[in-house]
Amino acid sequence: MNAGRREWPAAVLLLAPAALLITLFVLVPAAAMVNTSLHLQSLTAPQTGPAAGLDNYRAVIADPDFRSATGNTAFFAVLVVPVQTALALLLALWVDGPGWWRRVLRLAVFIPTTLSLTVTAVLWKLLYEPAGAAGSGLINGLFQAVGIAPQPFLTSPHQALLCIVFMSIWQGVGFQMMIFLAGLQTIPDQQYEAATLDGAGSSRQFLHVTLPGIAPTLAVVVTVTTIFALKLFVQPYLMTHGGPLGTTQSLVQYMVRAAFTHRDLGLACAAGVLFLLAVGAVTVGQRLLARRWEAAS
Amino acid sequence: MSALRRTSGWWQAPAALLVAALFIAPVVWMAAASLKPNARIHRDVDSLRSFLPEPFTLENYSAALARSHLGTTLVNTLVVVVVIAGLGVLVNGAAAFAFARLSFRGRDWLFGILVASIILPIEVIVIPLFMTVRTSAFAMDYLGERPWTLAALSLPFAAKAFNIFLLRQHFLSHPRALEEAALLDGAGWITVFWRIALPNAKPALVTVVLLDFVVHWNDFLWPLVVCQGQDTRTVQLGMGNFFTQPPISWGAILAYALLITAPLTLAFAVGQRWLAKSIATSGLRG
Amino acid sequence: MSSCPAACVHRASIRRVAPAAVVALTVWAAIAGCAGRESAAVKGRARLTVWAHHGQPAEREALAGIVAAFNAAHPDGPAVAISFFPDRQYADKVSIASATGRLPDVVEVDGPYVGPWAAEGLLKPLDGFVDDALRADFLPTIIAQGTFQDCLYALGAFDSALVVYYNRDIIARAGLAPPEHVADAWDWATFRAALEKAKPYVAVPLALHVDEPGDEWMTYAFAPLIWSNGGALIDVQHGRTIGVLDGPQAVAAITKWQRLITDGLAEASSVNPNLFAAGDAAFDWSGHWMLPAFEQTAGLDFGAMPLPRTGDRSVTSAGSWCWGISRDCRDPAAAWRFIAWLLDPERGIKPIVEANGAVPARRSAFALFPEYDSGVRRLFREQLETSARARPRTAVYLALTTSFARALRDIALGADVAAALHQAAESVQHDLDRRRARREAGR
Repeated sequence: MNAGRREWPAAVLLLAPAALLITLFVLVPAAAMVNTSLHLQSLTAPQTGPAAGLDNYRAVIADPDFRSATGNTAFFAVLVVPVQTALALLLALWVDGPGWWRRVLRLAVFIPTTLSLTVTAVLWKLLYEPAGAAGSGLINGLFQAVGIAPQPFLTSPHQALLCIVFMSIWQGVGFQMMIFLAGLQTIPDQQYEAATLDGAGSSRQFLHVTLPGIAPTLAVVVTVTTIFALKLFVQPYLMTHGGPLGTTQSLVQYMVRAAFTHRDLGLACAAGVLFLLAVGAVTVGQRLLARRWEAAS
Repeated sequence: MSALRRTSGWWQAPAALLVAALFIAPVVWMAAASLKPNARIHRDVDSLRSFLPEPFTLENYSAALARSHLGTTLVNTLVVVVVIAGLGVLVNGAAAFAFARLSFRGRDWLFGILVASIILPIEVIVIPLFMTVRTSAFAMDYLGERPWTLAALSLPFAAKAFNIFLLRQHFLSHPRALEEAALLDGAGWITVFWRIALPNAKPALVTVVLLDFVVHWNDFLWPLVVCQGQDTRTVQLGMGNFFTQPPISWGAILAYALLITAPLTLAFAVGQRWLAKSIATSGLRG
Repeated sequence: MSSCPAACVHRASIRRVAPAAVVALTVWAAIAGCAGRESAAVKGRARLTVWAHHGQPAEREALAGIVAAFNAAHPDGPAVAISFFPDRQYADKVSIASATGRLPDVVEVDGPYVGPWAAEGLLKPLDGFVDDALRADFLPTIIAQGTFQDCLYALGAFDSALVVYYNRDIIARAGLAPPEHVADAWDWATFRAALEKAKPYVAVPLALHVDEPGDEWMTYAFAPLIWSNGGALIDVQHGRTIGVLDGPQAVAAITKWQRLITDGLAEASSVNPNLFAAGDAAFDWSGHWMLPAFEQTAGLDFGAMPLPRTGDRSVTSAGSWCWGISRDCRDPAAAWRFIAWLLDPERGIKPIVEANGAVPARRSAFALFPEYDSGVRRLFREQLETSARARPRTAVYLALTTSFARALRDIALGADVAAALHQAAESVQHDLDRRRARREAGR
């Protein structure tokens, strides 16, 4: 439109503020990260240290802490993303419609999302407290009341990360549910009516009307949830110190520790670059899968 | 109509209430525990009594207020969130409008890069971002420590690829008739953006403002890295005040947690439907 | 279902509610904000910025009082402006500030951090301000913790004490007689036997506070077991932790410690952070800082004994917060004037020590505190003069204490002692080696 009008001066003007801020606070740091990852540099030294080639990368990859942090973060994402997405979709389907009890459920599922992760972490640390002689956390208390053996929860290397998965889903699922709910509203009623006339049962309706209808929403939810899961930090930082036996240490925690405890910026930035590549690969992979699925259906 | 809606068995209402109770139980417990003496919090756990504020006391709230500098942290957080959201509306709105309406060379290419950068979480670049921001520390001498810190807490997050993306979807879905009429009347693009497009984008703007509000009210890692002086801290960092010297008072911690959650719950309650709706539609048309 | 009408109604209600909500929030914030504002007394004067850790409320108030007195007594000099930071974030804050060149003039330093901070050039030496007479007046542990590579970087107004408190009622019922002097400290078998005897009378015989949120407690509280057994955390001279932190003496001592927990004599995690004051623990492995709280607990009759020994003699920890002048300080003389005020027995030491129950750091100050002649405080003083040790002064102390604390937390939950300590030793060694590489590459 308006082919005769020169639009680029206006475009420059409108884009300039955002471009400036994004350059300053995203691109420059990202470039600095790559640069620092190729140098030996301590936190307190004001200027860049000597070049180190790929030494920092070698050190990071050889560090058992980095490997376990990568494993833990991946495990967390692999559990959280499908479970939370499926649960959110299920809840959205359930609460979509009339009825006071649907509104109650919708509100109840949504309320935890208004708690910050900081608050959630502190709250659940208390709930998960193991049973001891001087009292116990709420969950173990109720377990004992109904005759279930008390569980170590956060103090067990086998349960700690699962506990964090569980509370993270509790906190986050309401938000995804709301997005699905909105996605469901965009499916025209006629499609369901047509399917009903064709004699489709509810499961076939779900497969042939609902699922294709919310496919784009699903793609957004999965991407956003994945990124959220990969940046796991607050929960282990506040609840477990990354323990027991390092089973809850996350990648972001590893980076923060490398930078501020070991004061090794080179190491922290090398870990950051690797992390960034991983996030990029996962997201692109998901997009490709989603596209193939969309094309197929 | 979605699939489950028709299958209305008698069991659905009680089942829904049970699930609702399970979801809400931790929050109810938190509220009840914050209203009872510390020593009772972990004693009452073996029965439903733990969900009742009994014996009732407000001592945890007075302890929380006395210990937390809540006023300062609240003002700081509010300033940060308002700057991020307010500046964000202008900056992201302008960029989104340019991507939606104007044609210029390299537009799609630029937009592609922008969308790709959505996946870059701040947590990943928090260390280099800190390295970048610290180079401006000299400005503290002129600005003072608190304004500098508040700027460092807010400015990096005003421009946001995700918000630009969201607003662009909105502009694309909007009819152009009014804008074209204004252009024919001789108005420039800037005027069209400021006078017509932005005011008409209110629902989408509410969404991005709410998203910013939620995300940055809850920021923890970046303030942990940037805040120094006592009067520069945000509400989430304020929690740290309670984990200093032993013994730790869990009652006061829970009271503080509820106090800092209240504004967010309010904001959410007011705006959650818009939020969900425009995120979902952005996916649809993206 | 058509969502439109509902959405329109909703939209209208938002339009009404949203501005009201914003106004309510702003007003709330403004009202709350007034309470947090700083006093106007020091406005308009040059500033001497001081950072301190949070500590207990009484301690914070005492320090604020000392600052006010100093400012009133020095109307012409720069006014001291003090900021307090949560203990767990304090060290991070200082590293970050140092990286931005924004250190305050005077920093409070936790004893073991003197090493890293001095090594990284964050502190200015105090030797020029401290003459021999003054130096000799301080407890030896204070001088030791402030000294890094033969220079004095920090001095404190008080020192700490680590003891085992006991509940007299329970002790009497169990028929136990804890020792009073360091020389009579229980050996490990006697200690365990005592815990077994106390077990029937309490929920938990011994409170160890393993789930303290910070890392420093673990090193402070339990490194003495390794020292008592003839071991060490690090060989500072050769920059080695492998073979030291995971050496046989360390493994043996920490194994004894682990058995306390695995045998049910102590808890790895407790919902009640203050079991001892509640009468639920017979013994409390704890510091001087709990003394004021215990004294104020109604119905708690308690005493204290030296730490049990894992080797030939009882060793305990020392070291506490102390004061240094930062690299970025532009007026060291003014900074020292303030530190000297903080270290003055009458003006500085007395009020702060009365607030936190710590041990005065200067021999001349004991004259003001007759209570150090008897009871629990006498033991504090005796330990500092005979059996207390400062934590190692090394550039990698942060890595050391985090790794050691992490290992102990795992060990408390049943991890293999040798493997956990070895992992900690490797992690610190990694840091030491990378530091060496950076130093050599920098040449």
